[in-house]
Amino acid sequence: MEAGTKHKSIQWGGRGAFLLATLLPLGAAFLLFWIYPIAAAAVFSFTNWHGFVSQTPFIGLANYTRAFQDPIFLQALRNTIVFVLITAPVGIALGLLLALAINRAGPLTQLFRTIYFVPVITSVIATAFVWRYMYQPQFGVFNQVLSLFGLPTQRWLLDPGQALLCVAAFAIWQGVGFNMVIFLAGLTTIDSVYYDAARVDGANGWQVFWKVTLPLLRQTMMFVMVTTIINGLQVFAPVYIMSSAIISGGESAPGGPMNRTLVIVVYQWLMAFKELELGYGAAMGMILLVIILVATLLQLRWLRARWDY
Amino acid sequence: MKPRQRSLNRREFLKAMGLGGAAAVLASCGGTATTQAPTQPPPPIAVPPTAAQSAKTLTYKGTLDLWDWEFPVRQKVYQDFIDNKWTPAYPDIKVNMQALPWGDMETKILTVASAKNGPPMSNVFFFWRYELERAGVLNPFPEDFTDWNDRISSTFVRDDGKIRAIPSGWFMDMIYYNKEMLDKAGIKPADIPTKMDDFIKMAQQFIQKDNDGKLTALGCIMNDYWQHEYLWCDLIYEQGGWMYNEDGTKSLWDEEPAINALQFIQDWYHKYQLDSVDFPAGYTSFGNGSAPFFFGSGWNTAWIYNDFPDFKDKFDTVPAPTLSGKPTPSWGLFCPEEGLQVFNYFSADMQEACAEFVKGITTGDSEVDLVVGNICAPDSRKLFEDTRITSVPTVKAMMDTMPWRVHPGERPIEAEKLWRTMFDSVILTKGDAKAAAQEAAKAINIELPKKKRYFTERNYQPPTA
Repeated sequence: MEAGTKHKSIQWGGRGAFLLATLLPLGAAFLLFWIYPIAAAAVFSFTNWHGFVSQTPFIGLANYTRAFQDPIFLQALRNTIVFVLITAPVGIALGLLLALAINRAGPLTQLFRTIYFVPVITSVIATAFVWRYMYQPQFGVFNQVLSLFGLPTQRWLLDPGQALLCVAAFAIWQGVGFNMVIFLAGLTTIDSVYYDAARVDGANGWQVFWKVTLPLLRQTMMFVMVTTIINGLQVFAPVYIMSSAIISGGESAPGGPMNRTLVIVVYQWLMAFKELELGYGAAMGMILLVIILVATLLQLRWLRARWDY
Repeated sequence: MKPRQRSLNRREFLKAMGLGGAAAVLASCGGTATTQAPTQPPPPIAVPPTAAQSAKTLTYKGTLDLWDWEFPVRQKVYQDFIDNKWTPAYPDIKVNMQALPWGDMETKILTVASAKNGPPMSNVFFFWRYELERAGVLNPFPEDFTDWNDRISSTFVRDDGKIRAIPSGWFMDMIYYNKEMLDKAGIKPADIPTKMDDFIKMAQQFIQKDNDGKLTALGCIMNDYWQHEYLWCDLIYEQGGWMYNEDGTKSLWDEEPAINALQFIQDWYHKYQLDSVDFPAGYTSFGNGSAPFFFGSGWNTAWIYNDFPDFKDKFDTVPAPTLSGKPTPSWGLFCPEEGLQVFNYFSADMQEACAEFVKGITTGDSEVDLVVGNICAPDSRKLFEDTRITSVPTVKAMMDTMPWRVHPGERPIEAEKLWRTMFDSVILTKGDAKAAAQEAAKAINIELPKKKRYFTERNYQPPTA
């Protein structure tokens, strides 16, 4: 009994030390690099911190009211939502479609998976630059192709009506490989017995997809949706590269033409780090955080309620 | 200088497309795209032998970091000064120069200065200087630093009795012309009109269109954000207007001179059809022969040399035409290349060493080297007759107009996003110039009173002779 107690306490002590040794650094890092910056940003969002001054006067909700009265922020908010509404459904649908196709590609599965995944692992800066030149009205490959077919050439990124679509097309191309790989992984978890049963019951391919594949991909779909929408809401690099000084060679003030590609994170960066309105930038970050949180919770709730069986 | 243009000519574009896939794959291996420092060797700069015996005694020992934005010709001058003059005179004080991409420089210098960190001295562009001045982190220059009466900038850099900048030179708009194209058309450089209307008619001779009415050759390229901004300011001042009211609390962008200037820029593209946004921006289309003229600021010269080395001897410049054909009331805007500044939150001996470095490189023969290297107009009146400078191609056209130029001082950091939208509106969508100007003016007028501003445009006095 005595020996047993001693043995147990030694075990617990070892386990406790192990837990402490492993969790403490992680917890500290999490607090320092994750929780603290968010908390600091939340605090700064109630100040008019301008970077240089050591005092950061508390101004209450002024940055938040300013945001919702700022026509440029409202335009950025609209653009961000439109961007997500384009990139998320198209990116998810294409990713699923590719996964279904590649899943049946037999020995070529590996090859296609690699091909479609290359844009994901490629530097977004490099590829966005290449796409920017592909959109160039005079020399760009897109207009060359249109001309080949006798179709009218476009101004692409220079056209306020097309610019956001052009950036969205790039983002879809860049991200679809990731969705595809996740869906492919999800497809491998579906037991073939469900497909066999469906066939025995006389289901056609379309019915199998809707009644078997899609419901059984529910968890995967949830993950892909949540990550795609978060990525869309936080988009920065493609917009920054493709829209900077769109009719000039400069490297500043992205979001053109006429702010039609300006998204929240780009505007936040512009205000915080170019115009040194750090308090206002922090408030925009907080607004985005709430939007992401609400969007994510709604998705989780909707997907769980709809397909949990 | 302003940011380097990002457009490609046809040859570069095809090369980029060919290499695009390979570049993308390579980049995926962990590389990130950065602005590449141009590889074209800058023109040789003659650096006189060191004058180590005249060096001031400095107590600081160690390394001084120096930041600059990428502009190879200037970095060559700085490095030559460090190697040939500074290091022999002060072997215990190493100067470590770092050239940052233009796109990063502003954000980085403001960020590190706000944390009272970073380099003790840096080249500071006039766009950013005012933010640093407001923060009180820049050391003013002493009165005996140089002969301030000789400096063009004196009128525009003094505030609260202190001189806070020492520009290494000035840039202003001018007309770049393609010698071969003009020669072929039987036009001599001296024939290029000094009145804008006449210049437009001349440039229109070179316009070519395809069967669909699409421009295939341009009259005079501009198509660059910075040129729109500078030309807009030029035209406001040329009409005798101002950008801001006297106490700097309100913009005058919605007044007649500003609206007329904006309308002119719209007409440049849509009425006169001298230019097209479909062409690669700015000097790129000039360098690849798409237009005989380029309406550009002086900082473009170095980039044309850099990007189009074969074109180097095939272009030159003349002064920009004005609306009236005369230099009065003003010949428009000019902008300082600004210069080195010392930050005041470092130790006194370090600041003293930095100040000595700045003094060394901005006075005497080094100043000539700096001006020649930057291919800009000098800040010093006594250098106006210096043949080492006047013989530099493209520089004289700027110097000839300098006495009639206006420097607005602060360029409000909040303005750029508003101006971009304003120019996009009138150029890309043929929007109403008055409405676009009013919208920008309304937005900036909310911002202007929030801070002390350093507008200096009204210090301008046209020469009496």
